[in-house]
Amino acid sequence: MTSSATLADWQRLSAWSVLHNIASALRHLVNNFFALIPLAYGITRLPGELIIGLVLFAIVAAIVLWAVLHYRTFAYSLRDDSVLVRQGIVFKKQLDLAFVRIQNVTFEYPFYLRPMGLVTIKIDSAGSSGDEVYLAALEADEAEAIRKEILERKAHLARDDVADDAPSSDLLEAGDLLIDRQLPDLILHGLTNNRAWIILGGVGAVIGQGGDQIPVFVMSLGIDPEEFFSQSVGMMLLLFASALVLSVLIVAGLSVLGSIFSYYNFHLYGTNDAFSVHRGLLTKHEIHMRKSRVQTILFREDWLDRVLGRLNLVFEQLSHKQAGMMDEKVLVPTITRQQANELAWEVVPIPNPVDLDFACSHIRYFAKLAIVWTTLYVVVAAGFGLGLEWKLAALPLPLWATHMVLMYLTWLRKGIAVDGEMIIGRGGIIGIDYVVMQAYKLQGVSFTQSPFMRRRGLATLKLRVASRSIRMPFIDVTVARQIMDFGLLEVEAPGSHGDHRSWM
Amino acid sequence: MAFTNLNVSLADMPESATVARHGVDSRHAIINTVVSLLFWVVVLVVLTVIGFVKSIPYPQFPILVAAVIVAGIVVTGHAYAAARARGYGVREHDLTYYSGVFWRQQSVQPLARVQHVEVNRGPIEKRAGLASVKMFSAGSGSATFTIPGLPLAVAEDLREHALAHKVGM
Repeated sequence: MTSSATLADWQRLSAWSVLHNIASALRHLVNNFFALIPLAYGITRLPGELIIGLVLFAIVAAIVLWAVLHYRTFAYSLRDDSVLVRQGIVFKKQLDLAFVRIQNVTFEYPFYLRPMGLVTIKIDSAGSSGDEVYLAALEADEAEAIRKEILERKAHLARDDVADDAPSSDLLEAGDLLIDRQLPDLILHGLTNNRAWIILGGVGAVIGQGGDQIPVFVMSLGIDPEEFFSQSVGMMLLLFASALVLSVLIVAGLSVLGSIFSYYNFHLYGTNDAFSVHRGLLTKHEIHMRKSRVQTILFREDWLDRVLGRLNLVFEQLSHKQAGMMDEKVLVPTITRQQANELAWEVVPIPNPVDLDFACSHIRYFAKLAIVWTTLYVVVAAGFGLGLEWKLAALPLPLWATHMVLMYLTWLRKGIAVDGEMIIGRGGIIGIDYVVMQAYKLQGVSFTQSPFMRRRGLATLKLRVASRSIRMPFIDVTVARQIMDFGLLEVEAPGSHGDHRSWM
Repeated sequence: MAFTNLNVSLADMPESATVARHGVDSRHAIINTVVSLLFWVVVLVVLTVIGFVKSIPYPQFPILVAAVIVAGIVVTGHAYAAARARGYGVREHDLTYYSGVFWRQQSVQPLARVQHVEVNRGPIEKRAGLASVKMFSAGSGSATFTIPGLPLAVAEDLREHALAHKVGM
């Protein structure tokens, strides 16, 4: 067991962390896929298999060498008020991660460390997005000790600063099981939410890039494209339809796989003031989130979810625009509305958002959008008609009609409601999204009017919290002012304890 | 502090519609207009020089010049109007920023949510004795709003006001 005295010294990671470094190097390579395409192409053009082999060997050797050197130069230390990390092979740098800014401490059990029973701790800070720190390949009890240390000191600092009513030890307990997800749920989740990107990544784009190679490929199959395309239209349609069905099946299959990879063995536990989530097939994630850190609760019901009567519930934290990290959110996949309401109630007492009375956007909002877009379509149609052939002017028509219908549906969905201390926004097109925010967590509000809107007594209201914002276009000006002033009162007036309530 | 739950009188509600509005310094509008004008004069001069060197034919050249002049007048006019439309309001618990010529926007930043404040001075602003105040709150990573064209003393007062609130909470 590691005591706090030794944690304050500079610590090295175990040699197994080399595996983590290799994995993160590979992840970087995959993320920079497009930048590497010319390189990969260059390698295949090298004369002789021996040289290609040597170059590939050199690349692998370089990655391994980097991983080993990174491990050799990496050291961390837990000080009184921050985690210090020293790293860098050529340019040494020291990272100072203040406890007060630490947002999450996440446990990951990647498949390559699981045989040894080792854990990787990921420490996220509330500062800039690139500031997360990985302490890789720790023994389980060592990892637990570090997490305890961080959370306790953090809570201690918080008590010194602003009276933090949450006892820190609560975060360490797993809590009661709130919900778990079985394989059938995950399959449903994969079908209703396109998670294929998890697996596809850049691959789809690669197919797009190699598009001009396809005719060559077809020729090599012994099919002459010209003869092929002169076949009867019926045959073509049949081929097209089967290709469509096939591609839908492939995407759906990949999506289900992606969903299972991410959410396998999903368990959500809750204590009085924190959640912890366990999920993942190859890499097990263990995420802890303080309930007080939840900025918005999102009820997301896509059109297919509506058919099946399911929805996704997302607890969202402070977000940085660039980092679309899943770890900053807790997503509970594909649950019933009843379950969603019960889980949301764990954080804030809200009624079922469906039952609320929403203030709607004025029809002039749709009219405005329709006029602007129709003008654009007319210009494009005129361009086609005059520039090429007059018949082509009808080409944008189906697109225009679809666009208008979708805009109309979007307008229909827009709504905002206030209930207790909660502000609820409604949106979506065919599906419905509800965004629930606590008014006292607002970061800022804005109120916008054009002269036309002023004459009609309408305004656009924007309410912003740290995770996202609600924009409500063209609502009645008195309603807009009421909601705005209510929000400001909630933020600015002291709470029930006589002090300002922290948004964190 | 003892627990209280007094009724809030309507007069004490933070009525955002009645925030006293102060316009930014009039020199801000002058600077914006002059900078915009200078830019378009330079464009016009460059165009004329090119026109004579490359000898652009008769109907195209005057049309081009006329288009640049019209664009310059519109953009400069907008720059002036936008500068005049900017204003701010200071209350005990929040700062308000007014902007926009056509879409008039009122943006309110509660001081309890201010993360940090920047006072910036560009070279031209510095000469005119002006400064900009940038207010940051959590979340987006960018500033909530920037109030330009404030006399330096006012900018510093605004910063002090915002930061004093943070300490007081």
